[in-house]
Amino acid sequence: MVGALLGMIDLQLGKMDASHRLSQPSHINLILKTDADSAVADQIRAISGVANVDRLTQFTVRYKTPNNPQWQTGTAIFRPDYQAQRYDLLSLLSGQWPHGKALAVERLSAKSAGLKLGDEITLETAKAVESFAVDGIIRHPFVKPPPFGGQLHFFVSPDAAAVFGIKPHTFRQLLVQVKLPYSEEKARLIASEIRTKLSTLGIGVNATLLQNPEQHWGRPFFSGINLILTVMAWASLALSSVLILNTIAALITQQTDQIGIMKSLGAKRSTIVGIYLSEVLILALIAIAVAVPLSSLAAYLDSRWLLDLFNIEMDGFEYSSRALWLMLAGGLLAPLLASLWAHLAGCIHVCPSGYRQLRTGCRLYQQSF
Amino acid sequence: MPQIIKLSNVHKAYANGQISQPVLHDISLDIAAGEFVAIVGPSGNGKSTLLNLLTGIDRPCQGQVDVCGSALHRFNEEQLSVWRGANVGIVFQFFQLLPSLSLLQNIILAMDFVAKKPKRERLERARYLLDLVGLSDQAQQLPSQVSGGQQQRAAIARALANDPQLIVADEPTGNLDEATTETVFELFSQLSRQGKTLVMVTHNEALAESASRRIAIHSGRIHDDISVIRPSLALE
Repeated sequence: MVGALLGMIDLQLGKMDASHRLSQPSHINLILKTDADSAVADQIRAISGVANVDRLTQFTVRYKTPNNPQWQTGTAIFRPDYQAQRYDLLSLLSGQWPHGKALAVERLSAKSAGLKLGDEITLETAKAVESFAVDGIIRHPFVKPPPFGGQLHFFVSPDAAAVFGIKPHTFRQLLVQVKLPYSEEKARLIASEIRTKLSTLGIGVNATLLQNPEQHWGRPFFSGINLILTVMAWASLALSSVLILNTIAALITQQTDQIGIMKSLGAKRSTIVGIYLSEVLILALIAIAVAVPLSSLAAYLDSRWLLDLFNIEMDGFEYSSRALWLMLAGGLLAPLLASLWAHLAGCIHVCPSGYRQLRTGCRLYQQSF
Repeated sequence: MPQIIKLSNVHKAYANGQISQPVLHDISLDIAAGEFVAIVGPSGNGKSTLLNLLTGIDRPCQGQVDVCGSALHRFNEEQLSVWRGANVGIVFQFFQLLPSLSLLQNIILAMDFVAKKPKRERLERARYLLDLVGLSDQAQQLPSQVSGGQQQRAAIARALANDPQLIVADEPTGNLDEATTETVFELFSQLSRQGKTLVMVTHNEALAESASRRIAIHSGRIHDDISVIRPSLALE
């Protein structure tokens, strides 16, 4: 339980953050009120503290898929050059980058709507209704997953963007990275400078989004549930320790007479404790041998499922070394400490009345500690 | 013969709630090496308590207990345990063999705890002792797989494992039938003839009569102490 839960949390957060870093996340994302052109981008790039900028346009479309004849609302994204992305990197998973009238579909969208390469999607353009072939599947690092209420996302080429009335070489969204080292305060200051600059150029800003380049944007979704899972994991460790303690105490109580016999044969306290601790150690090792692979597998499968919801794929089997060490430490220490405690608590056991030898054994046992 | 046991003015009482219940009163007793002593008397009169004092299982409230040259009343529990393993072999009424070990392993375990004999000699000695008590063909059996008499013989072999100076037996035939009681009699007599000191609590009058000395305890006091020169022993 501890290994599975903590392992899952570690794998999940670790992979999310790693995937986030790999996408070269923008530090500042400015959503503009009006179109801007490349000259504006150059002026923003020239602001002190700005490392570089990237551009894109995102707009709402109405679409129909082969599997659903109803009109629905989705999001289309246009980047001037898909081959030269700087920030919030899209990855081409299959097919081709958007070209001509062929578009690409976001991976989660394709999965959710059952779309595949070669399918035709009907879109409402500025002047008509047109069909576009799906010729690529793309991973976008920051889309809201459809199971969580996200829309379908499509990627269009400059040619296709023109059909929607978007002028070539313009953009509506500006992605900015500040010069390293990153700090939220620094990003906020530079964002303010950029907004001022844009204002002087007559361009308004609808929204300014800041994002930590080290931590995945989806972390807040998990923070609550992870806290509950962590509490559950530690509670289960505490509970299982009590169960182990009771089990071992019961075992020791049953063997009171046997311990007395060993004392009568000249066994030292350390020898007797050693015998019982060895027994407990062997049981603990067997338990670990069963628990570690099972919980590691459970952690991997759970993480894979959860990460997939957030558009992150796990390539192969992975495990959390922290969870592994915790399982080893908990699996060994809990029974051994419980066993020691049970031995010490054994001093206060009341001897069963009856057979004289049992009393003798019990008395020797009580004297042992 | 040198004294192997010397009890001087020993008092023992058990606390029963707020009340102290005396069990042994002012016991003074000397037992020489090689003696075969039977302690007899009604139940609840202090026989087993006396035996527990001789083996260091219990401590006296007053007085001194010197056994095999050691002042037991001065030892702590760990010292007593080590001393017991090296000097005393105990035979219980209910055998008290460890149930998960074979008869052979039970004997080896006693030697392992004390480590008096070199490791390589322990298996051979365990086999020799089982042979001595007539159980060489049962060596690999678990205690539950042999009869009560065979278990008691194995327990006697275990008591001899570390070649103790003193063998103490608490009702050794109390749980045996007549035929196996005879075998145990014979074993004790044989050990006595070999010069071992035996102290035994028994209700069995016949076994008590086979001893060289008979101590009767009543109400926590030595009531009678009779040494017997038996022709068979004297002849040997």
